[in-house]
Amino acid sequence: MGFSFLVCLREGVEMALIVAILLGYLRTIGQKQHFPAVWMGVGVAAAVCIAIGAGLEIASRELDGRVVEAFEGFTMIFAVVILTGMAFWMKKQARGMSRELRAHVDQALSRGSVAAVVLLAATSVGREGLETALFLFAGSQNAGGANYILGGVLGFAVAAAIGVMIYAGSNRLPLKAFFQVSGVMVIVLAAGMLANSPVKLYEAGLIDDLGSRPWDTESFISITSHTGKFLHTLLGYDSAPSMLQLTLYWGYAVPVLLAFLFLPLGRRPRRPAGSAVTHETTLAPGR
Amino acid sequence: MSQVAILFGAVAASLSLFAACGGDDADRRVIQITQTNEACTPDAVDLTAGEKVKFEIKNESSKDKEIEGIEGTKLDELLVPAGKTRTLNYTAPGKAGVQKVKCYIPGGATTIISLNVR
Repeated sequence: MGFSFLVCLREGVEMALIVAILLGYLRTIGQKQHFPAVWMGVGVAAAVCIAIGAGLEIASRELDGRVVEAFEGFTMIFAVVILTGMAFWMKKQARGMSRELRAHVDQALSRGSVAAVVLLAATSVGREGLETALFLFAGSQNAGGANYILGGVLGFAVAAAIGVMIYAGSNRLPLKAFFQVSGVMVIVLAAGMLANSPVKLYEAGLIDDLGSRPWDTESFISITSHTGKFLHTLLGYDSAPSMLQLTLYWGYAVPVLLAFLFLPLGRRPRRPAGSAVTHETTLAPGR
Repeated sequence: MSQVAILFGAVAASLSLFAACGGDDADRRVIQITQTNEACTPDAVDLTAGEKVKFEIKNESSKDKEIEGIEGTKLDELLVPAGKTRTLNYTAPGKAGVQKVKCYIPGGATTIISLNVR
């Protein structure tokens, strides 16, 4: 539940931010009649992403035994790659995103086509949605059932509330800090997922041996207890991790976290001399 | 920064709530399952309808062995590392019938354990 909550909160806020920027800009330039086009785009994106998520789930049920495990293992690795890329992308784009989206809206409107606005909303939101579908599918191998869905719904609900606040013009929302901290969380989730992918590949018979296991903390926190499962889905906890898993976890987590936190990726927006545009205002809609 | 602290404090609080949900009950009957290179024993277990048990699975083989419910049996999938012991809680269905558990080395020796629910 914690996993799906975090994923949907993070991705949901990204989507909410995009929608709030689009609607806020249309409001500012007096084009409120195009609001339905934005929502139609969001609807199209949601439908496509749900279909893809359902497709992954059905495919994994149709496939048989060992093929499923292999499919799951490779999906987990793929999800880690995409998620890592997106965490860095978000960090880099945050500054210029609002400006870029507004430029795209201008382009769409100048073509006089409502369909272009629908398409813009659908592609912007759909990218985040695909990421969510992929991550949720990969994570559902470790957790599942009603709680998993509930966590996701709660995450999206909180994200929607944040979206409303952004639209209402609350410039004081600490969005930069949110993306920074949730980016760290996503990287930690991804490290756990990466470390558990070879277990799936072992179960698929593609890896012959996971290697030696230097310790066993089963009597301390059992992998099948509630706490153990919780820590497993969030941090990748394993009571007796193999050297391969440990190497993947730390070999991924440490350099990626250091790069995410300390590499200067922020693209500085070009500003007219003398204007003091703060980061928060560039994120705010319709400015 | 105080808003950041509140936002993430709230996230942390709700997550710890999720973690605290539900506890393991201690008075379950313990059923031991031993995994060897060739098979898993026993290959049949008698349970009463609705009974809550704890499987204690000991892997004496040289490979990590998988155990999971099949054909609708609600037993979580678990990989027991070679030489380790792991436990899994299980609640028998309310109706009599045979539930099936697959115990195997991926790509190797497989035992189907029948849970005979009476």
